[in-house]
Amino acid sequence: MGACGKLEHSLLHLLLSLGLPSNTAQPITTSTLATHRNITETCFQGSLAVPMAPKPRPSELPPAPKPVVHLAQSIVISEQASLTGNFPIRVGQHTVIHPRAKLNSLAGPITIGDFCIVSERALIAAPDQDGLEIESYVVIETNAVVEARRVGEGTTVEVGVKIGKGAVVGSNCKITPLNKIEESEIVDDSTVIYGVGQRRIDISGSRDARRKLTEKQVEALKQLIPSNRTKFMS
Amino acid sequence: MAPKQSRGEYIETDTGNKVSRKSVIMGSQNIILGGKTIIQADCTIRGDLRRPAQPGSQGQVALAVGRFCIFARSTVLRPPGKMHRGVYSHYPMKLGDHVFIGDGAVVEAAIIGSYVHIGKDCVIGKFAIIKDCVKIEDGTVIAPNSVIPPFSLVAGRPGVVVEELPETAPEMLDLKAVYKQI
Repeated sequence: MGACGKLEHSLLHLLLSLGLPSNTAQPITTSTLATHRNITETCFQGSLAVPMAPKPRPSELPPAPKPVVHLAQSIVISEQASLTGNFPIRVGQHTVIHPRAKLNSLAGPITIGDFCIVSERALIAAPDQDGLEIESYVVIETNAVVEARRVGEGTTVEVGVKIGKGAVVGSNCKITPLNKIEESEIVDDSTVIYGVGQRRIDISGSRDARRKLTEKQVEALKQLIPSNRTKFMS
Repeated sequence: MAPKQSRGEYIETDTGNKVSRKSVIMGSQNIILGGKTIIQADCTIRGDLRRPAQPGSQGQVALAVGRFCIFARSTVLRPPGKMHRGVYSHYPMKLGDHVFIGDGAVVEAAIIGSYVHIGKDCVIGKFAIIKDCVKIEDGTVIAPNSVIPPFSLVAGRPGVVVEELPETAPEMLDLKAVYKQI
């Protein structure tokens, strides 16, 4: 009973320390390990009557472990992103982490290079203690699950792709939506996985153009996504 | 008599939109809902991805939705972006009336017409244009920049038109009855 009360108190304290506003037009997300409860208060055009959001119920589980993070100065990380785990997470220069993206280092360290984009609802988790390395210019789209050992430079992982544990994806690959890469599989450089698991080698030589596009995209997203880097620095 | 619920799952607006409290809506000031639209739990709508405000213009819309649309659980709607004249910018996404988007679907289309049914776990690529009265089967992937003609049934990865819909399709795809149930 006493321990439970203590926990509740500590969670309340956590919520308070995050400085959550109680009445704003923007959606607020409070995330702990077990619950991703969203309190949404929206104001749409042509509508004014918005009832109050329900009071947040404190989670009964202990708060998620906070990893040691090394975030470069120039990154954009939304405060609604979630970084959990025990191992360190490193993020390079000019990388964008969208709101609701999840980085989980419970099993091993995560390293992300420069000019990467991690979209909302994407899950990046290290497969084991040897960690996960995402090189520069990697774009990871919505709903993707990446548990690879390494994702090479300039690779695009599209919507809903699943990369199995310990797989190695080469550089400049493109994995089109909903495709799967099996555990410990090795994908060569410049492979395009399209349709339902068909593969071919990309010989278009659009590597540099794609990089430029990613750079421009990062530039645009910097204007749009409010960054809160200090929230994750411990 | 139904038991009185003190806190329903949905927030209902004046125009009859029902927005789940568990949905994630970013940049709500850039989203226009036509009315009687249902947004279910865990939906993610990226209204914050809009064109950078040009001087002299105001009220940039990122997403415009018609009437009687339903976004089922865990759907993601995000306005598409592309490079144009050396600048990367996001473009508004427009949805017509009676658009149904199934569980877990990810939509990055430019324009979706009226009476469109998008099945579960579909992926609609960037800048796709879907005309009126289209049914998209579950798990279809529509390629970026593709145009789907009216009255078609689309399936496969990549999605292709497999059949034509009958002229009665708008009645089949009408969502008024579904709205009343929720």
